[in-house]
Amino acid sequence: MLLGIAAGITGTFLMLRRRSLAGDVIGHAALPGVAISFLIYAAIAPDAGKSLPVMLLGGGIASALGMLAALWLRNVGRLPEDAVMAIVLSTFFGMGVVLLSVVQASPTGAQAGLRDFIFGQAAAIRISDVTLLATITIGTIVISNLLMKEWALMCFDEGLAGVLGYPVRTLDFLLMALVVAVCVAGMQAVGLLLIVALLIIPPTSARFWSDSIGPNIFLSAIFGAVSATTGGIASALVPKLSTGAIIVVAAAFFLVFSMFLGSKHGLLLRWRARRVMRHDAQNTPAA
Amino acid sequence: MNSKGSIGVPPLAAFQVTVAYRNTPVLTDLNFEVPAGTLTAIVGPNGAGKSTLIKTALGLVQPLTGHFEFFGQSFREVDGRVSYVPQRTSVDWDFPVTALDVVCMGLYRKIGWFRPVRARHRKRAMEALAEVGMQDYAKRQISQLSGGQQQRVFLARALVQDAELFLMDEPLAGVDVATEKTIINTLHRLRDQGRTAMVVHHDLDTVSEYFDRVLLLNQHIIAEGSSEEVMTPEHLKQAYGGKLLILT
Repeated sequence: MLLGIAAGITGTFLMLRRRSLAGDVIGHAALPGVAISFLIYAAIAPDAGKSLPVMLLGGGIASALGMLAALWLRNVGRLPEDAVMAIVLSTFFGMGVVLLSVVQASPTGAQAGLRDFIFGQAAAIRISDVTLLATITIGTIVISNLLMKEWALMCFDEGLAGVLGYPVRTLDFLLMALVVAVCVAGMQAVGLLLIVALLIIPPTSARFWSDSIGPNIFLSAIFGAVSATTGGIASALVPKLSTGAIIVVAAAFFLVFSMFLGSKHGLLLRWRARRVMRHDAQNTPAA
Repeated sequence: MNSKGSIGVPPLAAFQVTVAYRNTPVLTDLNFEVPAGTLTAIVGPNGAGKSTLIKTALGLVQPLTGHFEFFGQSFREVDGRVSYVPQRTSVDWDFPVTALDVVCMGLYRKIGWFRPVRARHRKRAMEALAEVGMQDYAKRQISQLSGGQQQRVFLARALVQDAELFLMDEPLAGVDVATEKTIINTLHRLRDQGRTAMVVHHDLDTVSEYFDRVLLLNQHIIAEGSSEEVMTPEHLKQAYGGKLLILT
């Protein structure tokens, strides 16, 4: 599925930037935005029901605010980064849950199916939403192909990127913006609690197979796509099954598989290498 | 070879530079000039602000007051004439790139936005790796290199930038003898080509042997000038306090 590809690609850069948790923050922070934009939209156009683009916009804004809050907290108060992430994440999510109960209490709220945003329901996606998803995916592929070298440099050595005259902040912002786009777009299918898994697990799996960026991104996209497809099909076959959960389980399966069989850093490979070493050591006569 | 900046304009000059992290001053009122075609060592105790000095010059840290000039211009205006070798520990060596990929990064600015790395760029990067004796390791993932080899990869990356001024942060920290020799020989060759380098150095015993000039630093400049002038027991005592035993 499209979403898996987009998440797999952006997730790779996120992992390389050591910002995996940021995806978590973005996902959770989107919830209040989704709820607020739903309320506003319902007030403006009461009969229109829910509009995915509007809610995505709201979610995007809230995610960006969450990210900014995290950056600001880290720079101003001498808090450790993981604590900052956890604080922002739970605060925004808490606000989101409060707002969500407000929405559900409103007359239009019941049929809005906002619950699907939390755990994901692929069946809730409409054709118009698919177009949006496709646009975001293609955009992600194009942008990351163009900026692969620049992003890789920024992730590897921010200092050199700055010295070479690259606008590191802008590049960083662009990457985060893409992550937000993917998170928010994937929210309906995977759910905002589990979208993170799709951002983190496929790139981590890919890392066991290759030591180069290109193949890593490619594999990560494949893992993401296959996991997402599995989830989609499973939840279509078994109604009431949460799509997001299946996707994550599928992705986790690939991770375990890669951990053992990965052609670069797989455990099996390591065990075999150790056995060979031990064998050699035992059979080498002491000089 | 310079388009701008006439002869006599120093590659690097500091004007009343003061740097503070939060409310703690790290560097106070630095004024110095680095003459062209020289190798200058920045020497001082831990926490003296050596790395901060380099990072501030490169615009990675904002000074509280004062400014730096490169060839008489601001850092942004001298695009491509200055190259930087960060501390080896400043990057993630598990990153999925090969030694050759890292060297290619030095060429990114020349390659330009959005364009991929091409064969001729890789060829240039290979030449640089060969200059530091690392051509046989080009395809290795960088975590599989020893500390000294990683440092040489960094040096190769600086070489491909074809800069006139090199700022290096502890390139000789924790490296093997062969690497130390390679780096110093490379620096001397660069100087003989009329290029300039400013290098953070920690080993007082080798300063005079390797470098022409020394900037002795402990939050402010204690002494600056030729190695013989600076590396005197009095100056060192001033910089390091009574903790240093003068062995020579």
